Amino acid sequence: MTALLDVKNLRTHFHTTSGVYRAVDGVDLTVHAGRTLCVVGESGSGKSVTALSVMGLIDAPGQVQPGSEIVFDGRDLLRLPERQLRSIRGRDITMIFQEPMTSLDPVYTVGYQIAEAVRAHNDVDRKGATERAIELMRLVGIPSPERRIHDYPHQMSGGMRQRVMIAAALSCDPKLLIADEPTTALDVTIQAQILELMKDLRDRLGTAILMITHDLGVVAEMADDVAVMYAGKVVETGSVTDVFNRPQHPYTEALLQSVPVLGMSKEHPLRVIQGMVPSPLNWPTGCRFAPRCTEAFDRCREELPPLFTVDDQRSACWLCETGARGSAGVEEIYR
Amino acid sequence: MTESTAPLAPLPVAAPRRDHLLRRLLRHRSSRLGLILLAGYVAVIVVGPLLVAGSPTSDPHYQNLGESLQGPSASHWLGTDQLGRDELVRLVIGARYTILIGIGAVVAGVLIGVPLGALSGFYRGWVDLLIQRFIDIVLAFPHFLLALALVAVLGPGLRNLIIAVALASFPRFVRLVRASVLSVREQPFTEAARALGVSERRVLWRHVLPNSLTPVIVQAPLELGSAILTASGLGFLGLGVRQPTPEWGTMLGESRDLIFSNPRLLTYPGLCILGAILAFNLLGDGMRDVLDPRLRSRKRLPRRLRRLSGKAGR
Repeated sequence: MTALLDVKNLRTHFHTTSGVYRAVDGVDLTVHAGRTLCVVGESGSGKSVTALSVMGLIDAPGQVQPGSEIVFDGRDLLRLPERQLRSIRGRDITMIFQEPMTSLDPVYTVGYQIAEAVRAHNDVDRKGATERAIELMRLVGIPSPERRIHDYPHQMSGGMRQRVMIAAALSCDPKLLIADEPTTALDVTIQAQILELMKDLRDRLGTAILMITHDLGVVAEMADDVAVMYAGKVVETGSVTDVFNRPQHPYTEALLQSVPVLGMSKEHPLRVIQGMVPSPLNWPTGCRFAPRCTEAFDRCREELPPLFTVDDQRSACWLCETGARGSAGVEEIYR
Repeated sequence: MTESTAPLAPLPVAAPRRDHLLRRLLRHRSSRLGLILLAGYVAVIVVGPLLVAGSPTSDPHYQNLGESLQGPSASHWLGTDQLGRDELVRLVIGARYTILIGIGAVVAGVLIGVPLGALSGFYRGWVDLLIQRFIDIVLAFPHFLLALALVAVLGPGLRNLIIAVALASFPRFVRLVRASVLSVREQPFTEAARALGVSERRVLWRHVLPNSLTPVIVQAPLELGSAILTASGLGFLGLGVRQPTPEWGTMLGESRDLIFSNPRLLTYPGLCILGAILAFNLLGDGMRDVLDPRLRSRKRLPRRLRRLSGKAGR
């Protein structure tokens, strides 16, 4: 398995008047060619900032700190000049966003916007780009694309718009598609359709997917690998089956336990994680999950645990220092 | 599929009838009045010269001191001025200058102001600082005084008048566009465009700017009224279009000594200026309402439909 994207010690900080927001503070991720990595975590854990950092779309006051490395296809993106970065954006790495309602420019037709993405990287004339746009729209399952290219975004439903976004993102057969909560704004049936479409495209085109979500159902549906983020750091990584069946980090376990299941009763109420994600202005010393962790002991509050290797997984918990800790997996929880 | 089900033919879709801006403006009370007034002015500019043509007196420069300061008569409907020139002919010919100055100045103001405002709001940083402090300086001068000083430097004349009025009015467009760009640049679609590899420059001119122009469309007619007023004021002070040319402001200025003996010579051009400014202000007012989507829902049914819904059984 070759690593297509290798993020090492990524730290993205925002310098504001009230202090330094360390939104992403030492993230390591690996996306393998043709596979799907899902990044899960609560709001504010730094998922989206990680994605934007990879795209090189962090605006002031945000700044990727020196020492971070984002190696894509053998090149460190952080060392590339903006010009080269732009030729990679949209061609080799593309991104789709959470809000299909506002991610399309309301003053142009959807056909124009897909064609714009095509023309940004290919030397084709307007006619060729329009033909490609129709082809792409057919690929993502938009009916009668010849007519729909003349539609404006407001004439389409949310699901259709997300399909248009995906079509534009696929204009140059990218190697990596970053999807930042692509289905959060859609209703469940449309959500399933979009996920199905993405899986289908991944298998047909061999595009690797880095998917950001807070929905564990989506992870189960889509992922080959999972990275669990908490407070600007990755706390656990591994294949989806390993992480779901044998979570090694107490946070992962708590996250899995807080998924509501159909048929829950008063005797087995939904478990929640007490407390809030700490502020990125001042992370707690030691393990950042310690204040909310039921298994925390003294060392947790003093020393930040590194990622320990446990079988094929990696987990940042002192309990894993000596090997796998016994924990409740999905099956056990849902039983 | 059984044989009886024929393949579905694509359903014919009627193109939705677009509710054109003009139609909406005509439905709005104040912009309708503005448009009617404006249509009158345009008609005078286009057809007027043909109607008054024919006799030597139809030349706005034709002087006949023997007939100076006559009251209205069959041969001179609005009388003559102190040099015996036909007042009506001069007003009709003058319409084009006033409108030309107004439109010229606003178009120039938009062409200077919009790009500056867009750059300022989009790039922020020192570009913004530089442009905004420059605008502060320009705005520190009273609008009219600035135009006056510019004409004094450039010299009178139609072209210089347009330049002076434009320079006095462009800062407002800069501020307007900047404010609008500042909010549009944060819209998710700009980030989406960047993520697709669209260049920064293209994001600004093709995505951010077109989405920021609505306030300019509303401001432009209002600015037209004020440009006409400024231009007329300069004309009145003798700094506008040069003497024999029958520009309304200049005509006012020429006859100011006669304000007590022959007030009609000031009244007619004054009314013309008033009407023009009123027309543009009404239009601008209506445009603001019509382009505001929050007010759109209060739109009434077209008269045709209202009548239909009143009649039962048809």
